Amino acid sequence: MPREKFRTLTEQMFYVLLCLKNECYGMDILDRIPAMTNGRVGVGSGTLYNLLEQFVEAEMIRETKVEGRRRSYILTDKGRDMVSKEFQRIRAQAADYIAVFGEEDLT
Amino acid sequence: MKDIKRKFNRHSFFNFPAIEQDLEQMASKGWMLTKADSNIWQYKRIEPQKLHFSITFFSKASAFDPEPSESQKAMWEYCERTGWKLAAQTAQMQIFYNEQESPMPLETDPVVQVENIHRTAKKSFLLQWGAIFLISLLWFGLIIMRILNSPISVFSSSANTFTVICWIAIAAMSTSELSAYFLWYRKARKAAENGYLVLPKEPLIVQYIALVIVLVAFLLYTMTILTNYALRYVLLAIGQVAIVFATVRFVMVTLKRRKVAAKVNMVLTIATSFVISFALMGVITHIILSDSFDWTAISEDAAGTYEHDGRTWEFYDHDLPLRVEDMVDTPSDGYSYRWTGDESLFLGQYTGRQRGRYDAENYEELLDLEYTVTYVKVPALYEMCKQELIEKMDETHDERIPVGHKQIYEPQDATPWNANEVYQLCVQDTGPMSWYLVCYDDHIVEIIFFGWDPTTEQISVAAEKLGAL
Repeated sequence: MPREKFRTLTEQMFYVLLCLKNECYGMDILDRIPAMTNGRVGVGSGTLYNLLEQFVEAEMIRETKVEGRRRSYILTDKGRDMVSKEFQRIRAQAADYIAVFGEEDLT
Repeated sequence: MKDIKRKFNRHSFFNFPAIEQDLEQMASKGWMLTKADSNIWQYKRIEPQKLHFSITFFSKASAFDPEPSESQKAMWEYCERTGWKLAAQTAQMQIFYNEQESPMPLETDPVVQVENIHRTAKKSFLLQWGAIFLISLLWFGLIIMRILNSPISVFSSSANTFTVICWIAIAAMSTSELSAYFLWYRKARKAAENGYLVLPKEPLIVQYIALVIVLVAFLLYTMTILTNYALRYVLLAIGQVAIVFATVRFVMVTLKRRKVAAKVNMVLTIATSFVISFALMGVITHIILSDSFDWTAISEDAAGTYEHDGRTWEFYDHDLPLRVEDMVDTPSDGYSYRWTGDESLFLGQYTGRQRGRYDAENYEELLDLEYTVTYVKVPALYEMCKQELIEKMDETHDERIPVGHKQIYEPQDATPWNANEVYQLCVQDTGPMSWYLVCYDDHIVEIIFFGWDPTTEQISVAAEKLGAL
């Protein structure tokens, strides 16, 4: 069953929203995500551009500054809610993992 | 040595991996994409090199945009930041290349990528193919109705048959494109949920087969009309399509160059396509009507003309399979013999007419004969053709003809005609006419003996000649 738009977030959606807790230029997210994840996660330019457009459309982020073609964004309350729900979901998954394998298995 | 190369892009809109692969191969052979604003893509010569190509879609763009929008340029800047440079764009499709060894991909989230492609498809690809599909459905409805009413007129005309084949090919192409897209989209959407991208498969086989069928049909069609004046109309029709395409493209490109707003450009381009299509249709109709109503023009197949009663009449000297002289002891002077018709791979219909010339001394004594031979090359069409010929003359359901005066084909003994079935046209008040429908194995003959009743011997001669056709 395909996902309802943004009901759950992919890893990249999650990190893009995380980056926008504080106001940030869209393009800077390209560097911030690898930095935040020690290079584990990267986001492609096409993907980032489309995500920002869709997040603005869904009112999960809003534009704060437009300087020529450079735009900066910040998370809205709705976007904050979405990230929070996603975090709860990931945490629930982690809890389930621990319930099955125990904490000693974590490295 | 040429520095510019043009190549037809055969891939569907959504088959971006195949396009990327083609472009990478071209670069490795020393050709870099520079222009992709039509189906013929342009390349310039470069040093052969290993380049990565990647395609993303910008759904807000349109082929009518006078120049890229600020948001489109912003997207290009995002891409440049990771080393992706714009090679070319075709409305919404943005084609980038990257010189790095292992660049960060342009698209890294299948969910976003698939939805972006679908959003773009809804604004372009699906609209275009959807419209073609609907038009072909509508056309199919009309042609099926026509085939049910008059299969002979459809299948005995090479032009009609060619048109039917073209529309079947167009319908097959639009159906295969749309179904391939939706199949891919359904699978890709599901797979994206699990984090991977399903690569599209385009219906190239269907397209190639459709193209080959249309080309073969066109060749066969032109072969049937090579010696016919109809070739002129075919060339006019091809010219019309070429002029419409060229004019529409010229208007669109000129307006873009003059930075006219996209919506204004779209309206003017569409309006131009309608105006030029109707204008050219008018010109062609005028030419056809002028040819048809030019009473002074002599048919190509006429043997000559003669004057009678202040008018010029054509006469013909075609080789007819059955002549009055075969059945009646009469001189062949003073007659005009004409054999006309058309045929396709499915059916053929030819008419033989033997008429006395008005300037013949013994005109009053000359017997006239006319027969139409319908050759049924596909046995499945035989019954439909027979029914059409029978029903064409049947007046029993025509309320305009008073009861008692209606005509109908009545079955007769087929033995004298050495045929499978024979029908004779009978009028309720005046009785049987010298008008027969004779059904042989693979052809049906409708024959009219004007003003004379053939004897059994004469029928036997006619049967021998017409049955052997």
